[in-house]
Amino acid sequence: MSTTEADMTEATRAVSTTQQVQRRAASAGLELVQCRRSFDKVHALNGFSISIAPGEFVALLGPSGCGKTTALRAVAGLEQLDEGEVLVGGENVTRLPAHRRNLGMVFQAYSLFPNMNALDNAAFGLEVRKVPAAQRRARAGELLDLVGLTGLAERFPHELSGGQQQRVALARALCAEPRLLLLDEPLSALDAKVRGQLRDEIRRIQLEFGITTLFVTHDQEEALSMSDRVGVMRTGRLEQLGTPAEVYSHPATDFVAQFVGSVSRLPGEIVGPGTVSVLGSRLPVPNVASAELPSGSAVDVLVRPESIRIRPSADGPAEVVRASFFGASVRVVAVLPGGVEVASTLSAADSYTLPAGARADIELLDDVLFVVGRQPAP
Amino acid sequence: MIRNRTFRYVTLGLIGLYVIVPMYATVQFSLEGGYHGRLSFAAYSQGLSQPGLGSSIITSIEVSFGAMALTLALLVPTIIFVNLRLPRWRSVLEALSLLPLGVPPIVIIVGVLGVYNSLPNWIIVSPVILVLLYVVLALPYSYRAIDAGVRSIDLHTLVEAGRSMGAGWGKLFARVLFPNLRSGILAASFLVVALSLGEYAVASLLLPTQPTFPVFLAGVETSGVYLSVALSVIALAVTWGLLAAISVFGSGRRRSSAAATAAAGADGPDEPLAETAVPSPPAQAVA
Repeated sequence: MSTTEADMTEATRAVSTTQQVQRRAASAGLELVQCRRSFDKVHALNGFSISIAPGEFVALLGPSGCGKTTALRAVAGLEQLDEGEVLVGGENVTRLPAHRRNLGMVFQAYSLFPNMNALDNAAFGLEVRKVPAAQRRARAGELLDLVGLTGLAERFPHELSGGQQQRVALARALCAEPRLLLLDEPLSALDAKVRGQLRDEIRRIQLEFGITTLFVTHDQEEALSMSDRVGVMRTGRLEQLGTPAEVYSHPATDFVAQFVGSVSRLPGEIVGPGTVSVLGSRLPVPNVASAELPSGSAVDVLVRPESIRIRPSADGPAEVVRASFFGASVRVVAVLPGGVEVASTLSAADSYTLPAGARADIELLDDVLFVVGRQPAP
Repeated sequence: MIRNRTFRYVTLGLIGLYVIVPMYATVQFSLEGGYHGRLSFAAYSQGLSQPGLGSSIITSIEVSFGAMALTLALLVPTIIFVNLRLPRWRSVLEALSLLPLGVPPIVIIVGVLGVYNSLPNWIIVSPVILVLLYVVLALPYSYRAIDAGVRSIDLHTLVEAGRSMGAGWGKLFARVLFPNLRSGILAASFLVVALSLGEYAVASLLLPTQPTFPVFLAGVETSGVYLSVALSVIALAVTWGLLAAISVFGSGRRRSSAAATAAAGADGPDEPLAETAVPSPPAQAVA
């Protein structure tokens, strides 16, 4: 387990379960029903539906233009739907203006008010709600402490780093005790190290508050590491909604299999009911639709890099073409006769025996991820 | 570095001379109205005792501040709305705002008289008609000043952040947009006030019965050259005073609110991000 994961687990444990349950009770669930939104001829949302339980952290993940930000903005009231409904805590807020929805939002762009210092920024939601000045300043101060900005309350946005500004934005979003927290790629403008730190902070605070959170990102690592459930979107629809492990290990569609994590696409053949032959192994077909394909059907078999072993072998069928170093691991890519590329994740030590140009054997270690029928060439 | 600094001082000095020398000469000339080459304030005493001076200054101030208020009330929300919701219309609005520059004031007067004739009589025979026209005449400058201010901030994000925090449009304008657009608003205010205080042609044709200060000044020019120059200097001082008051009002309010915010429990507007850059008032405020 990495240091970050260990810190995360510790932080998570530190939050009292009772506290979480109490706060979760105050947090609202979220439901989007058959939402549609078009811009000119582009369907940003095309019958999008999702249901999020109170206190749950759900990430919407998908490629650019898949409609994830539109969905988030529709929840915030910053985008009007053409069709469909948004329900917060069972209340239909579809036609409610943004400022009456009582939601907290952190934006991708730095969105602090330049004319206010960190404390006044954080207290803005309470100021709007006419909370007495002393009370709101005390509350905003607590929130700034919570996001790790003790002593920086009097600083103005231009005196804060990007990470600090997003922390203030998070404090501001939470200060007025919103029913939902909406995060619109809040980490994407930050450098990798700060992004990692803030990712853990956001999750810790979300657990502490027990607040229902919808998080939009195109970064699958963020989505998988932070969320209770991940929704993978494509062309305005939800392809799959499940726990990070479900989405990663049991993708519902070949798009999800290929978008989340990385896969090698190997040629295979259905050799019996629910059985596929690939690289000389006979393995069960994981997805129902492809399991019903008749014997002899040509298929593509999607396999994760960690399910493949590439071993040096002087008379092996594959040739190593490149190796990419990632610190703890190395991603080795070999090419099979016919030009099919196979990727495997190896330890750095194992990869030393596989320089580019080396001959190698390919072996499947685990079940295949997904099987998709191959379309006949036109 | 030293060369740079020298260049800066020389440039500043030359600009200073360009502005100050004519004013010094004007003041010097106005003081030579005494006898036997002695300097005296005789022309000023005579000028200040002219009947109609006070009322013309008051009319000018009313008109200029009325034009400023109407300009801000019309332009600030419009420019914000267009930038937020109708960005494609920005170029149209920009082109429209330039029209008053391409049409001579006398043509505008003839044109608008037909339109304004349908207005109630109390508008046509009062300084209100000048307010309406000065808003149009100042449009090329005021539009640009406010638009530049709006474009210098991330309007979309600030508005959406404010709205998502529960702020209605009133709160958003008062606490977020106006403070961050202060420099553009102040610049537009200066330009409208300066233009309104110095305008002669429109005022003399549309409101001859209630002269503004430039119209009054033209009327007394025949009474003596020293007198009219002394009145010009007075007009310049009044204009500067008003512009300085606007500037102090803007920044002074900011300082006091910052102090209020610094005190625990303060419940007022907050300290701004940076000092507001405001252009110098135009020197040709008075004709």
